[in-house]
Amino acid sequence: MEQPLSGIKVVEIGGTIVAASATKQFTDFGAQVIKIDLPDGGEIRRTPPFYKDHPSLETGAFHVALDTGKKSIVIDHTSNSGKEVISRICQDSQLVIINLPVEETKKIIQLIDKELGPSTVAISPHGLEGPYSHRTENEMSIFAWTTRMERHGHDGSEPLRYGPHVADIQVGATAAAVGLSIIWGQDHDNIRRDVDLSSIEALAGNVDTGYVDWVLLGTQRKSGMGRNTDNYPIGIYECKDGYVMFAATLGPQFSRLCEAIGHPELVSDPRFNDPIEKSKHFEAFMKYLDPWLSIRTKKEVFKEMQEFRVMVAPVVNMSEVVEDEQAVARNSFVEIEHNQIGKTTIHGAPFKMDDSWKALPPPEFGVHTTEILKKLSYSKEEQIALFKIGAIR
Amino acid sequence: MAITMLNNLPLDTERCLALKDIKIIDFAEVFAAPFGISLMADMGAEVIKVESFPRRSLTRPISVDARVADGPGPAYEKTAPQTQGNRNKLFLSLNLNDKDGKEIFTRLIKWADIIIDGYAAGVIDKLGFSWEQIHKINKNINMISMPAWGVDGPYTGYTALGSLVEASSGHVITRGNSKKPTEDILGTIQTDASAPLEVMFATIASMYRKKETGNGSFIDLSHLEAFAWYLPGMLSEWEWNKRLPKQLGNEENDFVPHGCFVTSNPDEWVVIAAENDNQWQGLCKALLKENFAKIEHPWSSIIGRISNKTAINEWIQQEVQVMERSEIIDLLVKNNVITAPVINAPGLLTNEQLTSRNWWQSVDHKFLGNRLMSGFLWDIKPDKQKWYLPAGLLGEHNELILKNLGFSKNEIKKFNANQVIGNEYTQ
Repeated sequence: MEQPLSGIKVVEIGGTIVAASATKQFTDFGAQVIKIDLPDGGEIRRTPPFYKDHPSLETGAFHVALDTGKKSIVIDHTSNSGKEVISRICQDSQLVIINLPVEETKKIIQLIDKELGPSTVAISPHGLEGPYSHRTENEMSIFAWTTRMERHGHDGSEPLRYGPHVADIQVGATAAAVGLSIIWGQDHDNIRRDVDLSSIEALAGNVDTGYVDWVLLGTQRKSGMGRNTDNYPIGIYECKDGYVMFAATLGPQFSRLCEAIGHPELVSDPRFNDPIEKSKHFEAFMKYLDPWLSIRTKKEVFKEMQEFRVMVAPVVNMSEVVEDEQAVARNSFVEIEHNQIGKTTIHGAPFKMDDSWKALPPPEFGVHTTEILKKLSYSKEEQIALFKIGAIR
Repeated sequence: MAITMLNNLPLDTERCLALKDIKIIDFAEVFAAPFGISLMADMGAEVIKVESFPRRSLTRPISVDARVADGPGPAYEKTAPQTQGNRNKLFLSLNLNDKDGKEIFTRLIKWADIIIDGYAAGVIDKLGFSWEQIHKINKNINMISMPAWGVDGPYTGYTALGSLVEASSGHVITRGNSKKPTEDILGTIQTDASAPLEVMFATIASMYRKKETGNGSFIDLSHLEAFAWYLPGMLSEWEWNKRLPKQLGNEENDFVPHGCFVTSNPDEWVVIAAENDNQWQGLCKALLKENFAKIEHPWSSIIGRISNKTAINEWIQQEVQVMERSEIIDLLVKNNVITAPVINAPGLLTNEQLTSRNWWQSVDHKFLGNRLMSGFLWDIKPDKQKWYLPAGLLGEHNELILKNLGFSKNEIKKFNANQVIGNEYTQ
């Protein structure tokens, strides 16, 4: 059986983590992705961590994990000769995903044949038009604009972003979802579509912002899942060897938790079965919960509580994540063979559909340049001319 | 069965129709699945949402709680999660414990291209609709099941909300402020924002597969795995260099400044970053300290800035805390420095860019009235996305759907009388 997206051709221009994460899913599910690398390697190849801390364009973690299975050609997209090549590459594809500064992005879109050319997804912080479209942003400033950073901090202390590049990759995954949809659309109605994807809109329009709560309820909640002494247990609690996270405040959850810790009588205890009384007796409740947690590992808490259908999970670090029994049983991590690193582990499929997902090693910088130019019918002389003028590397 | 139910409604014909030939059963309640399905409905997919009846859906409380808006009408028509994740769908309420209810569901399965099941593992099987049974009813149908940790493995049947899935990804422990206790790290529902995007990608990928094989596929979508791939840096840091990721807060290891600073109003923060020498020069110019960017000054190079991180952050904080937020942002934007206000929910409305792009969606709802809802995740040309149907009322499209599935008026009347379908919750 072919991979589901085999036969689809996608072009990626931008050299960013956002652009690379947008096209990763295409290549892993069988599409051909041509990655137009920037002459300096771009953000994706220059972002740490690096294998054994040795910086190179081949051994950055984001490049290794997110550029799997792509073909790499290095082109100076700002030169007219470079644009000539890009235009031919695009003409031979169904989708072009662009994440360059806004003016450069617009110039790439101008190269696309408006009748028969591919559909496009142009990713920028604020969108291609409007009063803020030329502002310089990065992942943190985009995140600040989306209400999530404000919610991710306690009153009076510094609001925080999430882990580095989590928001970038969410923007990329958003571009992938709409990108595949417009390929499907064009396959069926022959309409070429142009998507203008603002990172801020992509994040602010998703489900985890506070805006909808505010507009409907008039309330502004801090991130609702944090530790709370009014209604509990929710958030992070210490146990024997670390921490677990609870979300067990609701009636049936709380009752089952009381049973799980061997105190079913607490369910009908007036201190805990009324929301107002419950908010006054957090310390009293901890006298029951703490001793139970303190003699159990996070794994034991997780398994024993889940048997009672109580929502709890261990708070784990990366060394534990890769060895987790569920991850091992489901092959959540896979190995690829990298020509400098050797065998190395990356995250596996984002969803499982038979054997439709496969990660191949990432390409060396510009390794497919000649192959791609040849396919596009550039003669040897023309390839030399493009090299001499600096349009390709 | 080729039925286009949406054709029976008076709809704007200019809406985006890229996915118009995809027919989806939304069998889900909370956040990720319903929202992912709305993203496809925005682009023209035809969606029927099947809601539990007469037992109420989790997102539809019958008494007023913290997530119910004020105003007339039953509580279950006015909750935030229900409203946010359910635009552009047709609503069917169905008793799946009833024989007739099962028959209706069977006909829907014959109609659909894909069923998206957002319940905990095993729920749909107990109703008599396991993947094997569904596939037997319609060999062309695709199905996504999406429990927190996936459909198999030792954690099968375990349940979670987004915050717990994230805890088991390795991300939670890296968030938060390193000077504060671990217990203070807040929970987030990040995985509820990443899973919908995979629901959408998986749906279209399964449509391509069906085109090739002529056979439906089953998709096992773990919320954890749908998010885990967002963390390649943390994974490789451990695999290659045997370092566990630290709580970086807002800092970066490889450039300075990159942080969040409080302005003259203690509730208003700004983020400021200079990723390269040019942006650093812009920052120094904006704050009238151009000599900090001259070659003879140690802070002019990335090396000097990294080794003087604390002093630089203190200098910026001193400058920022005597200025108003809008003043500092205007100044830094003019000098091409990375900056943004840390805004709260009403603050989103002050973003002139969103207004100029007509991002906000004015939505009329029978009980909520007119509300300005957040807009789409992307803008498409030439066919625009529209918010043409607000979250449906309970059972709002029951008759339309059943008629299109071939049931007679009398049968529909009987289903109503027998509580197979209905439009009011009492329990």
